[in-house]
Amino acid sequence: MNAADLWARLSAEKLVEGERPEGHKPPSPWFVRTMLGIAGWIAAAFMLMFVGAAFAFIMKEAIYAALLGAACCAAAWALFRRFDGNDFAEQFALVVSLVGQVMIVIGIGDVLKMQDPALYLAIAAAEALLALIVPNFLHRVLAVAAAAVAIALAINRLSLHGLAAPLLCAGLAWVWLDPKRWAVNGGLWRPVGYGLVLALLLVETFRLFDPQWLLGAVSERTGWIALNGPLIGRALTAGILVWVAVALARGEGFAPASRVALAAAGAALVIGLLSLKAPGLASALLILLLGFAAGNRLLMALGIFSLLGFVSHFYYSLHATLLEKSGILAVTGLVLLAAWFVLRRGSPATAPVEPKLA
Amino acid sequence: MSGLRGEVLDWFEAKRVVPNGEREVLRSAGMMPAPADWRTFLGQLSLWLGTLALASAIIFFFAFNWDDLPRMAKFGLVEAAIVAALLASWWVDLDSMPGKAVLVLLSLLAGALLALTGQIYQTGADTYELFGWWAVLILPWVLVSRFSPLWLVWLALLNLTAYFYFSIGWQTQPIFWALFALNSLALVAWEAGHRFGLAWLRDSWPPRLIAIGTGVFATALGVWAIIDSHSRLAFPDALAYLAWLGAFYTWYRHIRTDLFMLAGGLLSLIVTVTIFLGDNLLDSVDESAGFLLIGLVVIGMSAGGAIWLKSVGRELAE
Repeated sequence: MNAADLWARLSAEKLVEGERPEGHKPPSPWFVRTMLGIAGWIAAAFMLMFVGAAFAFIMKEAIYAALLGAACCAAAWALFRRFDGNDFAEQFALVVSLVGQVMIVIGIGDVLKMQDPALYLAIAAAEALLALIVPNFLHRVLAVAAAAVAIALAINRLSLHGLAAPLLCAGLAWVWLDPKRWAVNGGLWRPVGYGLVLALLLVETFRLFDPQWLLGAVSERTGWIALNGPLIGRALTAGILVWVAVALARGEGFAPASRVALAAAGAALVIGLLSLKAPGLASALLILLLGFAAGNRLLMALGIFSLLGFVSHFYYSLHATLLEKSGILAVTGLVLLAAWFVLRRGSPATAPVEPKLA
Repeated sequence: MSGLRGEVLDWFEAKRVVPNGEREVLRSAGMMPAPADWRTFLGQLSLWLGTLALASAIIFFFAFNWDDLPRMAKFGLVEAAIVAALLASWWVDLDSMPGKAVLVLLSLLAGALLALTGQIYQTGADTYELFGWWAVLILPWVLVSRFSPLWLVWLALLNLTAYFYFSIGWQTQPIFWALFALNSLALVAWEAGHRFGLAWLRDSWPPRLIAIGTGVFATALGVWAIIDSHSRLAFPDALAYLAWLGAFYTWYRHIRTDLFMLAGGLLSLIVTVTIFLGDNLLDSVDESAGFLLIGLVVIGMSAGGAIWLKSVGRELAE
């Protein structure tokens, strides 16, 4: 079906109104944006070295660094607004903004201490402001990811370890569950959704592979919340996964007691319980589920690859012995295969059906 | 993003969709799943997660190396699982999803059996032999599966075999060459199969994954040739990289146009040009001017590349 036929059909069904918008410019595919983002960071690194080599005094004085950073971000904002659609200007503006953001971080970092949560909250606020006011997709993705990672670092510094992942998961669900956000106000919310996914995968990955470094950094404080935070975080993530499964089933018109709704909630609960021992699994499955619900193949692919990665990591995790892990996996596998069997019996057709998602 | 998807999202941005009609519009455009799609998705998800969990449970169990369990009981367990999976493969249609899941399970169990053999008899075999024999033993199942993810598992085993074999010498360059050659060969075979019209090779994502493998190691060879330019291998490294880049461009621009591949090739070129300029410019001119120039070149190349990719995309859409 082409766009004209679809418009005619939707118009006849009174689902769209007015004239069909003309002059559609197809957006760049995700991999072109990824290429631009990586190249943008490479260019920004060299530009920063240029500033450091040519104007060394700026790097030494916090106030100069912060002022130059703010000026760069303001210039980038003006360039994005003035030259919307001009690829050279937009890429230049992205690099100028990235340089500005690093300078702002250098400036704030000189005033506040590394151990102080306020440092990361200030960075998160600056990044969130940039994400809100700069009207560019790629810039918004990177700024939101930076803000979310900064919030995760602040949470760690507040000794609330493990609570960043459920917070990001809740944000993800909020963006991708409702088409009123990712479709109707997609210019703002789609890049926010991608930025949150990027940050969630970074937080989960770094936390797993080196708990003493960066995103898994632990503060010196001890106490009940510091000790049990990671488990509470995994339980909250599992709860969000079950809630999303039920919300999706209801949104699709399935009765809460229907076979599909119960299978979805049951499978989500099993994976949620497994993820109490295998960190990351519930987050990955949440990305996969939300991706399917929003017809978004990129999110689905990210969910599948991260799911495989977190299952592999489970082998090395020290939360349980290999024998315990084997037992947990065997029970999970049998429950999931039973769920598959129930769904298969209830299926009206036995022939495999490929999901028809655009 | 498909053309239709982008245009429908434009209708939302232009406020043409009536309030509360969002889900109907998205479903009509095929951008949100219908109830039948959900049933298929949840079925496949539970089938694959269940299969992977069961296979992992068996592998983890033998990795635990439980002393209280006699060695024959261990072999009996894993062999019983293999026999059960073989019986299941008779029962199900191998072209259906459950059939392919059984073949994946069998392939993973073969690895568990090999690892158990090495664990019990302490054969002294090198790690590469485990992965090599694993790849050899599962080849019949891979061949009959006609399932691209299982072929990718097989290719991953070959990659591990090559990696561990060439790691014995503690030299990086032979590893780059081996993995570059292996993945390039796999990509050529995939493209040939696709060209011969094999239906199960029609998906675009498996060759893209393999291309990431070839691209990473080709770029590593190119970078190595620049930073170690006095080595006797610098010339063949550079030649291999340039040949890869030329062949990649020719195939994916003029024979089977694929924007993902072209974007990847472009990123590789940006990386090598940056390293080349850094290696040659920073010693000969003022350092700060060199940094500025390299930054501007990267901006120019990436923006110019994006414009070129857009024009190729428009050509494809027409």
